[in-house]
Amino acid sequence: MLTAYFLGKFQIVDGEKVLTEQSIRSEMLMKLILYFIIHRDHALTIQELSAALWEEDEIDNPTGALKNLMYRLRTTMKEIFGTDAFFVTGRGTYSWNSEIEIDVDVELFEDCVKKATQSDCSRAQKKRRLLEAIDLYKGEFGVKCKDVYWVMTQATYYHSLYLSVVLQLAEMLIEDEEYHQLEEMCGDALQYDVADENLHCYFVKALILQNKLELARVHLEEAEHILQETLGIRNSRPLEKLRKELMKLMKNDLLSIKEVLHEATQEEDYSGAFQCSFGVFKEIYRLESRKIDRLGMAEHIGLITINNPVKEQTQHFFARQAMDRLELITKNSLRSGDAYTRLNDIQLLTLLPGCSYESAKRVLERICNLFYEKYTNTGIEFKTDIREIEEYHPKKKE
Amino acid sequence: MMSEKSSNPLPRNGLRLCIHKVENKEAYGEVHSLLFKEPLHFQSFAEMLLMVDGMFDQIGYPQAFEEKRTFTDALVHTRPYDGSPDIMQDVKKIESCFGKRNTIEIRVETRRKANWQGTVYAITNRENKKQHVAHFCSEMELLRELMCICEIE
Repeated sequence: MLTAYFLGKFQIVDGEKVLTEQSIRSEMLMKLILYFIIHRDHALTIQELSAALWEEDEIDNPTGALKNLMYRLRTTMKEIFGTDAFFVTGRGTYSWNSEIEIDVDVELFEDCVKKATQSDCSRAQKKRRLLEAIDLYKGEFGVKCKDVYWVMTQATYYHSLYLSVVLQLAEMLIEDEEYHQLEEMCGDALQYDVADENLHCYFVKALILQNKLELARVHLEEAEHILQETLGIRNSRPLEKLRKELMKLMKNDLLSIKEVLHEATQEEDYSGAFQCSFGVFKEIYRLESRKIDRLGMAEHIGLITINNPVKEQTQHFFARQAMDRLELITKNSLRSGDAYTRLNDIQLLTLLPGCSYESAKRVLERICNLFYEKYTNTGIEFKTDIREIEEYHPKKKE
Repeated sequence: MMSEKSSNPLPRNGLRLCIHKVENKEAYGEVHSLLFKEPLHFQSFAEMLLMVDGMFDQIGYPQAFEEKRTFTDALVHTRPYDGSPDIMQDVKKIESCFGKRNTIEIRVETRRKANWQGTVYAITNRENKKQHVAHFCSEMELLRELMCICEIE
């Protein structure tokens, strides 16, 4: 009996005989056999196959081209499996030979998930089936054929199904205190989807629950960076919550003052102003708002926003590029004790201690002017906004 | 409204007001500060506020959140923030000064929104005990407290 693997790879196996993408040597043939196997429940017309293979492309003679492809496919299959009886030619149709049974990994995966969600399924059965399902998922569906719409839509469907399985299982594994398995599962899942916030959260949680606190801290920082880069998420609430939990736990370790100092001074880049995440910026803001009453100091926060409309993809690209440049100018323009953070792709926030409103305004104007002077003809315009730091608590009125 | 007592000495941001008399609803007296070379004499609370505000601008402490604005292009000299301004007078000498009518201590914490924020203390004559009176969020609130302490209707 044949088994087809389309998740994360392309392979059709019959005992020791294996058809791989290397042996088939053609993306077109891969798409064709993939389509045949996925739609083996019905006969495929030439029109249907042409649409699936060439989509919008104009082909002079689709019937001839398809006939040629079918000939090549049969030859390849015969070379590998010793028979070309896999396909049946009808009147204007081709179909998979129904007498040849085949197991397909995506179907088995979907079947496992369906069975797990049946109402008569016990918790243990559900967990076992979900574990079987994630074991079957070895990557994206039809990786080498992703340029055709039907593969893309199927791949998205199976991927989101997989993610939902992982999230369901994550909760179950936490309940059952199987934290190592949770770590492995989330680690695998992150290889398939590095930008999923929930996966990062469960992965960090798994590390925390196994008391791998330093690993959890490192991964948390990586996750924040990845989410900022890929999705523009600057302030992920679930990750921030985990960070706070982690910090509380890490404080419980007995440290010497030397270790504390070593950890606190581990900053890679000392030059220019202090760049931080929005979460850290908020903490600095709170601290400053407490300090200024005692220090008799004025302090403002300044917001620089790209004033141009950012709707299309290209505008997003230019806005991001402009913000990268503005960030560099800000770093070099502000004093080393000043903090700044990038809120999103079009906004940058700065904290300006010891600056009156007018000084803060001059500082922001200087940053914007440096950008305009250095990068002429970008068409980018900035607008600035300045506010006093709020009091950390309202004064009691007598 | 009177509340807790404070015995902390006069801080850098503290002002000691010695009120000698009240005439036609105006207070007459002098204001001392560790940061002033000599006391400033005033003939009303409003005058005191303007003089002290100008001194704060010259010293750079407590720092104003906004620079002074004028209707002309004339520049108003404001010193940048100075976290530890020079102390010009001895704290004991200042704390030995009392008003014939009232003695008041004001601590100006911040100067947000072109105003003053801080705390007012009434000082019991000769015993030098500071009685916390109120927090204020603006100069108007401070004036109200000062008039209340001096029993100016």
